[in-house]
Amino acid sequence: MSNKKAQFSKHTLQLAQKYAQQLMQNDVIELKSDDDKDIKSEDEQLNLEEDQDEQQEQLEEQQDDENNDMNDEEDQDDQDDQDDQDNQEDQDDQDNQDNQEDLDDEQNEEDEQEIVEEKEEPKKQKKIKKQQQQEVEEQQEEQMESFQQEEDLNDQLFETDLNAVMNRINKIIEALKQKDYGKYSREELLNELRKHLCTYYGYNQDLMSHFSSMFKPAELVAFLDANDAPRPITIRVNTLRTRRKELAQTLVQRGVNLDSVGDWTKVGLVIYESKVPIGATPEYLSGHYMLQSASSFLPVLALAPQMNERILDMAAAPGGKTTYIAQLMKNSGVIFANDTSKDREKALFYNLQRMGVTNCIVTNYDGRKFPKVMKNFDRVLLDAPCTGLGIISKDPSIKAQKQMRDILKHSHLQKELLLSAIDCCKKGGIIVYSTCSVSVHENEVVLQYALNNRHVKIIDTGLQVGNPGLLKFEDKKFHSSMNLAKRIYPHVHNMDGFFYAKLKKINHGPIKEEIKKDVQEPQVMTKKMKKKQKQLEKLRLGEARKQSQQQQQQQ
Amino acid sequence: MRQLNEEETKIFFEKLGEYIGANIKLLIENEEDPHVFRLIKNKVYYMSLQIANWATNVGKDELLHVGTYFGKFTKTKKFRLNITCLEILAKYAKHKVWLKPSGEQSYLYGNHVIKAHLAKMSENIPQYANVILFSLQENPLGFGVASRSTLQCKDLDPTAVVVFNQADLGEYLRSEDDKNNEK
Repeated sequence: MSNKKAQFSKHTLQLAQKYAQQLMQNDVIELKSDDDKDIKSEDEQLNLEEDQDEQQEQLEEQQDDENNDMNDEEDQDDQDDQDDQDNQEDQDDQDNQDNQEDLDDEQNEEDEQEIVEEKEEPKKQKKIKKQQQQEVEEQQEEQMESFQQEEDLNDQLFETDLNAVMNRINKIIEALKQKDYGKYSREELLNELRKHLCTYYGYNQDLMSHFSSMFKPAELVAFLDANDAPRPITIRVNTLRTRRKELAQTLVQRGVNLDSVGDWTKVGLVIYESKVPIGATPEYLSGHYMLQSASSFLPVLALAPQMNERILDMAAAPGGKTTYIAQLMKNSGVIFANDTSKDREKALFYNLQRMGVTNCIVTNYDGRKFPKVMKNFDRVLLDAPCTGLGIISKDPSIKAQKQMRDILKHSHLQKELLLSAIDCCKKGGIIVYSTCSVSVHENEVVLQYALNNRHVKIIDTGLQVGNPGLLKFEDKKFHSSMNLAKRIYPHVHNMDGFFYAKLKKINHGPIKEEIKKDVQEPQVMTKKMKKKQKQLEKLRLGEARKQSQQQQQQQ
Repeated sequence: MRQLNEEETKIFFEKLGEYIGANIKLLIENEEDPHVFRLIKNKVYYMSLQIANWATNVGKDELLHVGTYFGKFTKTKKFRLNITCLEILAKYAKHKVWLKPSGEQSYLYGNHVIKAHLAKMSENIPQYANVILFSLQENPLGFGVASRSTLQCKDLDPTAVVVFNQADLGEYLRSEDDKNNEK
């Protein structure tokens, strides 16, 4: 048996050695191709890190031994050697020699290297050895970077191998963290990172550049990862029909594993696991709960509706937030649930009926025209239509479809809707603006527009959930109260990406009304006026002719 | 939106009376918080007067739903109750039938109630009377027509139909499906 074992181990050793050699050769070839392409840049590298160069040269020498055909490069290598010698003179000779000796082994295993070092120099340089190890690690990283920096070669690899893309993404991020950019500039690395993130996560370039301007590289990857992972299913208990304890008990009896969402809500339950379809239990059908993402609770909690108030939900379908408002008001007062789309109206209607909401009026106006229908609401909730960049985990098609153009389009609509919502509200009333998007254009920019055009101020939401809103983004700067708005990120809060802000209306009417009228009205009038003027001119001309004819006749 | 005219009121109340009898009075005569029935297109809604007044501000084409939906008039001028009014029917129900937990599922899928699923039923239900169905936890599940009187039910074999299904809560899901199919 022992013989067999020995044979077996010998065999494995041989295999391992072969494999190691292959690996070596591969590395060598890759490095070599480096040199083929970046002959000029080697000088730069030399300036950056001497050790790196030495390493490469050594490898080149190996190559020359192995590949005698490559005669052209020998000249270069000779040059490099000279440079090296110059550099070596500057440093401690021993260090460099050790490095050079060890370099070949490093690529396979550090352990071996340590052993070798220990044997060769047991006494003298323990401190130096540590330094060497650090240097070696750095060198390895730099090596990897030098791999990364050959774009053409690696791109061919990457298109077929997602793992390789991921490795490279991680390396670039580390490099960016340590501010160790190698021979490339930060921007170039960032561009490359974006490109690879696009291929790995399947986003279009537009969205990725937008996200990368919002997040730091490491956070960006966390965000993208979170977008690929499903969010936990959450339900909201309908207190019009039941209580959370009762519902939890009955659901547990049905084989549902659940827990409360958090301390900030008394009506939320997280579903971890369920034997029955959670959207078709008798309790669901009786309207005891509603499937709703936890982040959708927040704007309603911020709105804080009171009994007997008149409330407008400007974009209500499919009614998750509307039913929550009714529940908080205990079916008193009046809720106007408006939605532009007639297709979504049915879902809204059935949800309202199922949840036993009786104080609701469902209307089908364009939200922008609602101020003409009715004004002076106590509170207005605007959960604006958006690109849904916060709910990519629910709808992955957003990744490929939505572009900057869509974001700006929505942003424009949202501005109009928010102004309209503010106009609907009474003086001193509350407006809550929310979107399920994380983009700045659909949130802070819209709020800033409202601040510029209406007498409103942003007030505290009264909730602790969420990161503060941004005060500046790219070239834009926002009002100092913008940090009272809240942002929910999937990778931070494990909820759908969300934004909500609470506004208080101070006074009626737009700001700078007179100036706007001066600008707008003449533009509108000129078209009509032109026609009238033309008609008038014609008439005048006709009269003039008649008069002249009459005069001629008289004469 | 308008009030129901005499003919419509008569048809509607006759139908409603089959389920809740004289309790209709309680629906209308509530002095503290007066409630009314209103017609939007051919659909009947039940709402508090305050909300009805607010709804008058909304244009005819834009007003879709108000308050609780009871049902609609068919083109032959009959009235059809919808499941959405179940809560109110259950509150004032004349005749009740309770289902066993094992029978809930089958009923909510739109099936008739068979004897085996019957837990209990109120006394003196005549044949072909309209009944409201409950789970044993007193959650209303739907309404239907009793195929036999209470006394006759005792002697039925387990697979015989006791209550014909007119509407059940499962319609919330099925009607949404219909909508998707239409698309």
